[in-house]
Amino acid sequence: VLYVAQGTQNSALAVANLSALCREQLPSRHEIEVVDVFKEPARALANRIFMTPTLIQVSPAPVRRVVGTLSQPGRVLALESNAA
Amino acid sequence: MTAPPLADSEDEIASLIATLHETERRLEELTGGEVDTVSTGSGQPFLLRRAQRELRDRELAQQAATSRRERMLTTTLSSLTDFAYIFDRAGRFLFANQPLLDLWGLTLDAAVGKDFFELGYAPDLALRLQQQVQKVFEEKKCVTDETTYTSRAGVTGHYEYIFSPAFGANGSVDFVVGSTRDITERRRSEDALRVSEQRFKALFEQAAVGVAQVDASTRRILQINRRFCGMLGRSHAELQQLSLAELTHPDDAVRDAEAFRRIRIGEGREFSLEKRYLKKDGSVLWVSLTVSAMWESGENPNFLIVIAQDVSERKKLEEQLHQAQKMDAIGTLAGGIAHDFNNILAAIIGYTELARMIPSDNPESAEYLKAVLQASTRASELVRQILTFSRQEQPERRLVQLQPVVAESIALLRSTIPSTIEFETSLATNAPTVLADPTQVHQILMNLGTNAWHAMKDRTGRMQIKLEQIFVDAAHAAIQPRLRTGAYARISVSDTGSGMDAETLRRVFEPFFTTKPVGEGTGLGLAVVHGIMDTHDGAVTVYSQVGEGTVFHLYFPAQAGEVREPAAREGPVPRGDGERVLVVDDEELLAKLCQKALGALGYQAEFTLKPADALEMVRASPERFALVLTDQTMPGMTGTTLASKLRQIRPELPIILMTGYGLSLTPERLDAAGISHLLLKPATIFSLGSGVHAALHPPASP
Repeated sequence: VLYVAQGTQNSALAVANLSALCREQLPSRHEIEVVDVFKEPARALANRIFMTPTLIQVSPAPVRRVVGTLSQPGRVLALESNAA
Repeated sequence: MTAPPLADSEDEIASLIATLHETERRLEELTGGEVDTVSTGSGQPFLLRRAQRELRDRELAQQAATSRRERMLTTTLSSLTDFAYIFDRAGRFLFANQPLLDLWGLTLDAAVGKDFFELGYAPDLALRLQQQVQKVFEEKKCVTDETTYTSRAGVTGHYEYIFSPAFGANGSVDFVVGSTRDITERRRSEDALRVSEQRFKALFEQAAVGVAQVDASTRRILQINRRFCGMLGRSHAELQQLSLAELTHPDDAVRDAEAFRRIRIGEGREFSLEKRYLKKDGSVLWVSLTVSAMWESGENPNFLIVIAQDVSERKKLEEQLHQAQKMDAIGTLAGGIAHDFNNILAAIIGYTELARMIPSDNPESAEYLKAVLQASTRASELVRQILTFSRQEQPERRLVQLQPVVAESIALLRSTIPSTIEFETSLATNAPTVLADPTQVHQILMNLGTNAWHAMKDRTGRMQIKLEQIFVDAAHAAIQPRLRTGAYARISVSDTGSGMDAETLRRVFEPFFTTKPVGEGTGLGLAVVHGIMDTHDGAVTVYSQVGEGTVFHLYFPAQAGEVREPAAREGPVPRGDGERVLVVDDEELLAKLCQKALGALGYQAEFTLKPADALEMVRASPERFALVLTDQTMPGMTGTTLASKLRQIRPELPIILMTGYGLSLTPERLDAAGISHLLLKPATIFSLGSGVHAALHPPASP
């Protein structure tokens, strides 16, 4: 799940980076949900999101999070490999 | 609770803002500028100022784009020449583009919110349009229609419009958009085209010539006008199943196919051709064709336009002219040979007659000589017929009884027409005398008789020939312009043959009109009859019924008087009493014959072959000859010239002229030349004897 603030540059960058990364590295093995913290503040709070953009890897467990524009694929992949 | 005065907190506010700035700066520093929002424990996200700026910029850009697009759309709609507009559910205008506003003469503000009724549309048109708008809302489908509309400015136009549904998010129709196009011009040109097409159709259909459009390769008829159908004697439907090739006369097929082949492969754009088509009834249609090629695509013509003019009439005239020229040539030929032929006949007849005068013990030889004489006489008759036909013989009208003439003709007809044709004759002996040329009457009867026979050919039939006296009254004369009231001798020739239809009957006396195949009939027979009756101040009428037969009536005006028949042929020939006669003829055979014949008749005859010698002989001794008998056609001097010269020597000398044909020798000319008598060649002993006798013994002048 990627938590963003709709309309800001960093959030848009994060969405684009994550989509590109998943398309390249995990074709047909991924599922991305984008949540606008202004539209669903309660959900953000429940997940303890206090910054956007924040990517939360829900599955496979354990839950992990990365904050930022996801411009460094390594960090996201590390998270992925941990999961594996 | 009252807010503390701002001035009191000024320092604290300034400090807090400084903290805020410092907090944000530090957050940006810590997150490397990759974070847009932060949340406090209460969960409400808080946009960092940089992100706020970004959002505001973006909104502003969007607003700018939207307003720019709106302006563009409005401009676009108003720049269209078509009308564009929007209706709400009640049929009121929400928008109308500038062209439509111009038509109405309204501003957008004035038009918006009004429906068709309020905009002053004619009630029935307004109602119709309103209902159509409703229909789009309800059925969610486009409506297309046309209408005329007259604007307030008085301009009437023809319009085509379409109302389309504009769908909202939930699939219902939010509003209806319309667009209208002015098709007045298109309508006008369509109308003009239709009128022009109708005119061309009329031109095509009502043309006085045959017009057809045919497929270039098969020559199949695609279009053909009424006139052409009429010319070919076939129905329109029938012709559309046929090709022009199938209608062409077999004798013209090759020539025709070649001409069409050339134009098909692009050799030339048009050609002209005279050819024949076969009508449905099998008769021939002569046409003058002009064929032009039409291209729609490709190198070779797709269609041919065929224009056909009926030239049958002209062709017929050409053929008639041809026939007439042929007849003319035959006439000239006949006239040319007549002289020689007559001389030969004269010799045959003369010597035969002389031979008959020699007593013979052998009855057979007398019989044979008689047969020779008969045959020669018939030959002589034939020459006369040829001369009459070629109009080289002047009619000799004299007072005659028609009965023996008709009887003679019947006898001749009977001997030539097969016995399957029954003859019925009734010749009144009391028929009035008439002024007529017996030879021509004979010819008329031969012509009519032969026609009657042809009409009854290949079957049995009855020919009726009747001579009677008839009195033409005023009523009869009124319907027959050539007849006057009075007595007539009428000869009727009727048959029980095929008869004639009205069309044939109308043209029956036309020269060269014939129903017989080419080569069998000249088309002259009845024309000659008509001509002869004319010169006899008479008339010929005809009645006919198809399948029943035909009757011709010949009217000869009665002419009172005493008939002076030439003395009966079989009567004794008047003889001479030793009178001296000079015979002048360049043909020695005939000269000798004459001499011998005259000798046999009791004259003393001498002959000379040269007119100049004859002149000398008479000059030497004017009283020596009682009579001079001269031929007309001689080298050096004609008979008439000789006669006038002889008369100068001795004015009362009787002179007889012998001639083959009486052309151009009028009684006046004969008188002027001093000719007492005219003898027609070939002269018989009888005519020679009576001629000479009459010239020597003229009736006493009063």
